[in-house]
Amino acid sequence: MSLYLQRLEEVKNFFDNKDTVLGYRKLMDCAMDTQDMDVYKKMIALTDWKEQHVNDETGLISRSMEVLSILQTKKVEPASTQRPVITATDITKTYGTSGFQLGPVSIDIKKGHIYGLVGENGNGKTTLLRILARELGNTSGSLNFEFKEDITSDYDLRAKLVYIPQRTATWYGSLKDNLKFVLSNYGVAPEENETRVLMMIARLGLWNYKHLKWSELSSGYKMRFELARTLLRQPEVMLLDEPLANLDVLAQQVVLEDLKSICNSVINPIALILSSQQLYEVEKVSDKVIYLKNGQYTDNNATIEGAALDQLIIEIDSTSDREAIKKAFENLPIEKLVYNGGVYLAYFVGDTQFYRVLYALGAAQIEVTYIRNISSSTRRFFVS
Amino acid sequence: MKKFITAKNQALLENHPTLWNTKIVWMLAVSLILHILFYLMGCVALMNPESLQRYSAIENFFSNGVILISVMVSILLLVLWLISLFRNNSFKNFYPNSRNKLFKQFASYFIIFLAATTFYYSYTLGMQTYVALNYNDMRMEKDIALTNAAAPFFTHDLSRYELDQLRNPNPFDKLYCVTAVGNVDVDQPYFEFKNNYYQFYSIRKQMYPYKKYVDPNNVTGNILNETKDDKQIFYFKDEVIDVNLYVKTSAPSYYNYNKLFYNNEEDEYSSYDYQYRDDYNPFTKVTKKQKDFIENHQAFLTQQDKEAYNKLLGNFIELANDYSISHNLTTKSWLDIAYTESPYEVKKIIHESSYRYNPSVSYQEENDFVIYEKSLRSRTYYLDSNSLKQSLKNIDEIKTTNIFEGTIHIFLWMAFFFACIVFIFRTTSLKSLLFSIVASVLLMILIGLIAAFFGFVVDYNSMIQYFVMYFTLILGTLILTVAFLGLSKVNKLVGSIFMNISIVGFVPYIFLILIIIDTHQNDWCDYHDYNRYQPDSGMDQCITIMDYLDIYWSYALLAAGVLFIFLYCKNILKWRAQPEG
Repeated sequence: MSLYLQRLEEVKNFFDNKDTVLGYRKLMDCAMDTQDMDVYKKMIALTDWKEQHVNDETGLISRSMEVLSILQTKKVEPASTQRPVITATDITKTYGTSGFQLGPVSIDIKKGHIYGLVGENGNGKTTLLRILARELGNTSGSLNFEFKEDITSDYDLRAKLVYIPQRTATWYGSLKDNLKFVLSNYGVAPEENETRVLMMIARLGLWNYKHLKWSELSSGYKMRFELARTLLRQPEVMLLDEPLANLDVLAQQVVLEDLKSICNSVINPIALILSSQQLYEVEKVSDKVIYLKNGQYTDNNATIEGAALDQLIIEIDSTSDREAIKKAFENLPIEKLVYNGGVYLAYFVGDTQFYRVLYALGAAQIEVTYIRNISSSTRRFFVS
Repeated sequence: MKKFITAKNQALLENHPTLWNTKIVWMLAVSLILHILFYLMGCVALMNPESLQRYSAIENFFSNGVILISVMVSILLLVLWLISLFRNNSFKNFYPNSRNKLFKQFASYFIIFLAATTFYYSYTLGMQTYVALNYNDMRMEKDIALTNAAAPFFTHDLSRYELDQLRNPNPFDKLYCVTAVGNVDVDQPYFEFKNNYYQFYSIRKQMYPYKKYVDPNNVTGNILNETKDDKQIFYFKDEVIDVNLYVKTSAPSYYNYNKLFYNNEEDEYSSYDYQYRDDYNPFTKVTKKQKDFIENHQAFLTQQDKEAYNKLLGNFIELANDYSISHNLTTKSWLDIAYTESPYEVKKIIHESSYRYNPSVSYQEENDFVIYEKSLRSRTYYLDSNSLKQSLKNIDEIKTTNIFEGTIHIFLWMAFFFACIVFIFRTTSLKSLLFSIVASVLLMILIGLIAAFFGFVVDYNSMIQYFVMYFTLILGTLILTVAFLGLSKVNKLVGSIFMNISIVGFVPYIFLILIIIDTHQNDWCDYHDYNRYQPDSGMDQCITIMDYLDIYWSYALLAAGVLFIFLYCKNILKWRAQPEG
């Protein structure tokens, strides 16, 4: 079964289980993969209907299934994701005045993969993103780019490396016109322009916001419109600097899920590199986490894989005092218990099981407000 | 209408994003409407004939305040345009771009600036249309003929009717009349009226080749000199001619009048009204047109047809009323003054304006002639013939002036300059633009200081001129070299400053090269004693590079500037793609 048909099957399952919100998003992803304007129009009409019949779940499911049956007749060839689009080899960047040095960093960026760039403020996340986006020159090392189509000029390369800075510019005029302007600049046929724009608006859940002014949008929706504008360019690489800043927790999850889903497109997979302070959320969607400390790059997967064998690290937020927690763990092979001012970090020997920690806390009736196994998370570097 | 605009706007957005972004279609549409409005304003500007009586009515746009409206409208239009232009920028967003696309943006800015600042032409064209329709050639020919025929009876200036003005019949058109009492040879035939003397002389001339230039001040007794072809001609009075047979009276007479009141074939200078009643009075040649006029006028007088007088003066009063010329004449009152029998002596003087004439106040020396003149002013009639002349002159000027000549260069260069500034702002940034302005000012100060320093060191003025020119040329060449070849080798912001100065400075750079060549050529010509100012002198002419195209250099430089920007767009794309740091 092809990847495309597998996706359709997943969509069917979502609708069968009445997971209409997620199912509908995945349905739109599949529809977008067809690049068929008739399919787009059907999805647009369905979105319009959906927004007018918010409570009619049965109607939505049956109509979605109809579109799904049409999608099953379409053929979508999956794009290759094997060759890296960006190959960075030992790139460094030195700032003369501050003496800060980033790197050396070597990394392969492949399409269909999400790369989370984490690290504390001032450790070089934005610098690395900007170097990869050719916004900033690197002091040493080399960068190679390989796209579907040959790069014709430096400007063409920059046009292919889509970079969204943390602070995006204000949009003026109609939001829809701004989106259409992107497509017409990319030479999209005039008859397809409106359809593609509406499809993207529908996909990013902006249907009811498309007539608003930029100033009337919340930060979350501004980011979504910015993503819509970016995704209309059908990029092969997307570099997002702190896209989750200013978003509430729910909006962060939705944006990340959407990004993951869209980047995993069958026909147009995207290599996504995003920097963020939201470690848990980023780690959840990332295929690879790049951790930067003082400009030095750590291949987090490699480090953590090794470290995870050695230690079990648990982050605990509790109202109980240190002695009570220590007492609860007295039968466990605890190495140390550290309080960093906000949370406790308990380090156990490598073969300790997490459920045993939970059991011990439960048995001692410790009031726990938050607990997380961070053995495999970059969070361990931040909180320790 | 709103639906139409939205539909067209969407079509532009989907098909021609650059045109949609630059708003050129709407700007041209709005400018066209405004041009039509200004054209209509121009059409009605001269509806009141009195507006034609002002000096240089063709400059109405500047003199009646329309220029202020035009400037305000242009500023408002351009500011609104800039606000909407700055909403989107495909270049800064790294949307696909090319040299042609970038140049299309610049061309749009240029056209928009030109369309939004040239309301002067529409307004003046409106005036020209009104004048061409209302004062067509046939009417003007008739009006001028009528005015010229009636003009001898305006009798504003008695000197026009004195004996020295007589140019017909032959031989008066070839004689020179001496009027200064000290120069009259009393032993020879002469005329006298109220202590004014008239003695007629024949003329002889003497010619010199121009190459041996003779200072007229060193040629005694010449009454006029002129340069024709490659010769200098001097005129001298020869011998007294007895013209007693032809002269009927020595008193001021309509018969002596010779001046064509309005001659649209004369150029500004030759139509000048200078006449002196002394030996400095130049010998004036009588043209064919003037001779015909004098003959017709004298024939009219000799016919003594009162009905013809009545018709002529009546028709002229109608014409004067049409042109809103102020006067207090009626056909009857004027006929009483103008109609005379031989020898057609002037009976009354008509004033040129309605200001009341007070004969008791006079700054002239009280001689017999002045007393006689005062006696002719006893009743106050007035006719503002100057305004009529001005009206006719204005009509001719408005009909024949090519309004684009000269002024178009100002508008073209203004549009080019502002298009460059907007283009720079759109392709780089405000920061870069401001830094470029600061850098340009610093460069100018540097050139000035170095020139001043050089001036102290070298005590030879023309060397400073060359030094400044060559120093600026070297500086310009360096800037252009960096802008073309070294952008990737310098910091991106610094590179943008070189780029911006080159965009604005390329045309001045080419102009500087032309000036340098021209200065060298002029110096060479001076050194080899070539003639540069007298095309008819017979000397070898010195033609410099600036003389070749003259004002057309302006177009050539503009074309060079536009071509430069087209070619340079590729470098701008390269610069934009360049990483910082």
